[in-house]
Amino acid sequence: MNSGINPYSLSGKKILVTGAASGIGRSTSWVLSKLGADLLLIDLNETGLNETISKCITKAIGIVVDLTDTTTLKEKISIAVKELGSLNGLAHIAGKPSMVPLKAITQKSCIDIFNINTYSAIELSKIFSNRTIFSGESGSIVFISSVYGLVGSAANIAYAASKAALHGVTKSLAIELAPKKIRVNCIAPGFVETNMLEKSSSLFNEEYKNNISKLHPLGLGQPEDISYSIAFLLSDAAKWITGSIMSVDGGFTAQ
Amino acid sequence: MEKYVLITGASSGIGREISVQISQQYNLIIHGRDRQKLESVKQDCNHQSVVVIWQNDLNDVENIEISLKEFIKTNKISVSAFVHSAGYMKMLPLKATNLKILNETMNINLYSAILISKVLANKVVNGSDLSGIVFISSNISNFGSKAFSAYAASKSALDGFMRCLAVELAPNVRVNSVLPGGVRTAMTEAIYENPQVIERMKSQYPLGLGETSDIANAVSFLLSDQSRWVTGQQITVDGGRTINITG
Repeated sequence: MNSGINPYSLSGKKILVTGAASGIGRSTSWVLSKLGADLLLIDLNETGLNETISKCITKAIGIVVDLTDTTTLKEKISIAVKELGSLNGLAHIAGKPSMVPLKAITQKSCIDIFNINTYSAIELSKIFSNRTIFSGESGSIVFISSVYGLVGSAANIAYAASKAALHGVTKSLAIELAPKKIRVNCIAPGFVETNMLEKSSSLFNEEYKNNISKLHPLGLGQPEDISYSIAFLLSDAAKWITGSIMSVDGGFTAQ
Repeated sequence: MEKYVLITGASSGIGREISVQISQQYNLIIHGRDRQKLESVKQDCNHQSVVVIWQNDLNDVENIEISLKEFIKTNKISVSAFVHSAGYMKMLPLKATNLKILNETMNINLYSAILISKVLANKVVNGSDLSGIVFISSNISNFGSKAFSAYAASKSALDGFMRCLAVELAPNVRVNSVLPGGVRTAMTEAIYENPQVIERMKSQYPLGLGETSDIANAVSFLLSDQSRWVTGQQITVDGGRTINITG
């Protein structure tokens, strides 16, 4: 910053964002765009994705694809990268909640959650670190886990396991990809007011929301609160940070 | 440019880098023992910002509260944020550790952080302006290493205090720690005297050795509104050192 360069800027960088059609993924796309990054945005929801793209102020290309469909994922990303240019960053934000008590859990439902929340992170990292996709400079991968990857909660087995597993992936990949100059970090958000929270908490009442809010000394979060930390970890300001699990949770895990 | 940030240990190393970097956005109170060094830091800061010097020895813990209260009153300043970058590190095996070294380590790394936080959170003294606190801890806060026992104990204690203060002062004040890996400064110079040690350290850091600006960038992020939902956290900035079991 002393030399007049802003290390938090993402100008000239090209970043892949998953889950871009709503919630944290959408707000992150807009924050990264404002900071100057060109974007490759992925989601299953085409309408939502196009709405996100329409408000980006930099170049943004959308891919409608199911992240668990590993047969077509690489090809679709490769084609888009030819148009956008090779990538510097990956923010894997797509995820799926699952609230099922132990007695109702099945192997299939666990594997489904693992595939979207955990394996897709591994598959995307494999694609991203490929020489034809990664530009070779300012490499940074950011995963999104959850406070549930760190603390306990009833009826959350599959989700908690899938998010805690991401922490293992983060640390392991950080070491493996350091020689390729790719940093790997993970943000563990607390409860953010998004549709995903509303969907999973619609079974409950206002009292439930108040109780969740009380778990956070700073109250519930907004999607942008997570987006800014993602932007920081993607930027060169974080060039000596790798393998870290950063909690952005309004103080949830400080208690 | 009305907000003042207090930075302890600003005369050298990480504290100096933080001061110079954030003087682009804030007015500063730079703290240290050596006025001449602080004057030189002031010269390197953004000249559009107001930079005030608080000369004080944190090892003199009995006088910290009085000295800071007087300083705030005399200069008619209220402090918006506090960065505790002053640090004391003596590498010693247990058998060579003594009470004097333990006291000095705790005074500078821990007690002064607590006492300064206490003064700044006091509305009678500092108004209601305080919004952020960042402690410079160490990645050794969570891990073990030979000859670091006193230093590590002080940093673990600092992070324990950080988490409690984050809960106690929420939602008005956010409190976080940055945990650097080995960065070459005047404080850590002893580690880097041996070229073999430097080579060994390089091999232990997956991203290579870090610079003071890497730490200052994280501090600057934690002081900004962009981290407004981050509190009570340890932010490790160590090039992957503490997750690397292959090194």
